Amino acid sequence: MRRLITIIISLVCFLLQGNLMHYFSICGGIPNLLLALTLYYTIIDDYRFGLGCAVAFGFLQDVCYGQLSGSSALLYLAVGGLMLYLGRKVYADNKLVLLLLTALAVFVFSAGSWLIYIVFMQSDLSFLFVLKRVPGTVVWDYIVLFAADVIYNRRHRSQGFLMHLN
Amino acid sequence: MRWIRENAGKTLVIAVVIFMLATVTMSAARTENDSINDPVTERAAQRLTADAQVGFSKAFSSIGDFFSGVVHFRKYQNENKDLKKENAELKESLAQAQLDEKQLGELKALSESLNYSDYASSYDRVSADVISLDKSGVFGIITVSAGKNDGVKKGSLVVNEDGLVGRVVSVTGSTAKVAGIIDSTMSVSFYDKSASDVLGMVSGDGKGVLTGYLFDTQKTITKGAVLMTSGLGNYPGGIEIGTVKKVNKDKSTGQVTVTAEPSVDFYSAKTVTILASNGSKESSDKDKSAEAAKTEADTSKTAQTAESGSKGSQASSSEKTTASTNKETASKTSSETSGSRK
Repeated sequence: MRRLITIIISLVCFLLQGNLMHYFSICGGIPNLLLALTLYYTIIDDYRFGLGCAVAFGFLQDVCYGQLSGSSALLYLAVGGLMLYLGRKVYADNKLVLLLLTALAVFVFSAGSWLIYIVFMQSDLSFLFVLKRVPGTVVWDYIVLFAADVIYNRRHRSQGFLMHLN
Repeated sequence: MRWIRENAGKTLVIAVVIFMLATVTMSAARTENDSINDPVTERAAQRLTADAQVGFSKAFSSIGDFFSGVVHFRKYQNENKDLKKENAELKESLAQAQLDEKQLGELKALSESLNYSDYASSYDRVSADVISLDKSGVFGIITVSAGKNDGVKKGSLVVNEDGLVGRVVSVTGSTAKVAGIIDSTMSVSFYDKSASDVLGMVSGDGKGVLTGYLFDTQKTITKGAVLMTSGLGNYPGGIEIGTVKKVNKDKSTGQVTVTAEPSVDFYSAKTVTILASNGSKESSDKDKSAEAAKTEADTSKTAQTAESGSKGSQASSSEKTTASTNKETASKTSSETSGSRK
């Protein structure tokens, strides 16, 4: 059941990303829902299947909307690995730490996108052009992640309360 | 094998990474070479999601418009004010245009009688809606609701009412992916709208604007000049590209470089027109080359006649002049034709 819910959430994120998210542009940055999903399933809820879903739908995102198939999926995997490692080293329940991890993840994703683009497309893409969109994306992704964190905590608290009653 | 069995998780991650890297490499090769088609798996995935994308696009566009209105309220208010002003100006110019209609009819008749072929007649214009836009990558890619079934090909040019939008980078039966003009892999030749002999080339500079240079170091261009596609190469001429924001002249080489802002806001395009070649451009090119070959053959014949005449005894100098003039014309025509095919 949990797997099915994860797949549905990933599918919804994938569909919303291409159809709705570009309306929420702030300083050129838009919410990257699949990146937020990657962060959620690595920092907040340590669930490998969720990370796998984010990578798989990231690949579908590349195929449907991207120019280089596999680039975003590869970066979601890299960011996921990094966050799994860092999530164990730091206290991720702290909201400031969560913000810093989000900022790091968005930076790694953007820098990775830039690197893949210049290596594989042999383009003279400016790194600053890519960096310009980082703050906007960090703000949006943090909002999404913060909301997900609140929902996760509430759900677990209620589950704990029910278990306590039982 | 034992290590693989013991480290199944690591093996899976390594396999996924290798697969992704191979896919990225293949994609890059495809982008560089237009003749390589998308793999079957990608085409199948695109086809499967295409219908869902169209449905979701319709469902989400009204929701998106609402949120966009809330987020960009101030911007839209100013835009509305500007549009009202522009509307009043357009009404005035419409009255003037009605007077010019007769002249336009005459010009059309004249161009038809001269068998003049402009880009509008050489290309089928396919209108399409933007069904998705993903800005999470380096450059945004828009997906439009027209594909191979409508005659769209990889590399087809995409325009809208403001000018050049970009080009098709990938196409399925019913959808196509379009990369914007600011994408640093796209370059296009231009001419200055106010001085048609000022030619150059611009491409995305990787910073969201266009940079380029003038072919002739003796020519100059001013800030605010409007750049139009020149028609050299595979793209049709007369489409607005952008406005010059900065001009620099290298003192040592004399090279004039320009920085221009694209006329089209790629990310806000909702409907676009794809210029799908209908074959008449190719046929006109073929006609041109056939004509050039014929002229060349005629020229060599005339030249031979002239030479034999001069060997015989009294060749008239006027014939020689005709022969050399014809030769020049032929070489000029053939070079123009090959230039247009580049």
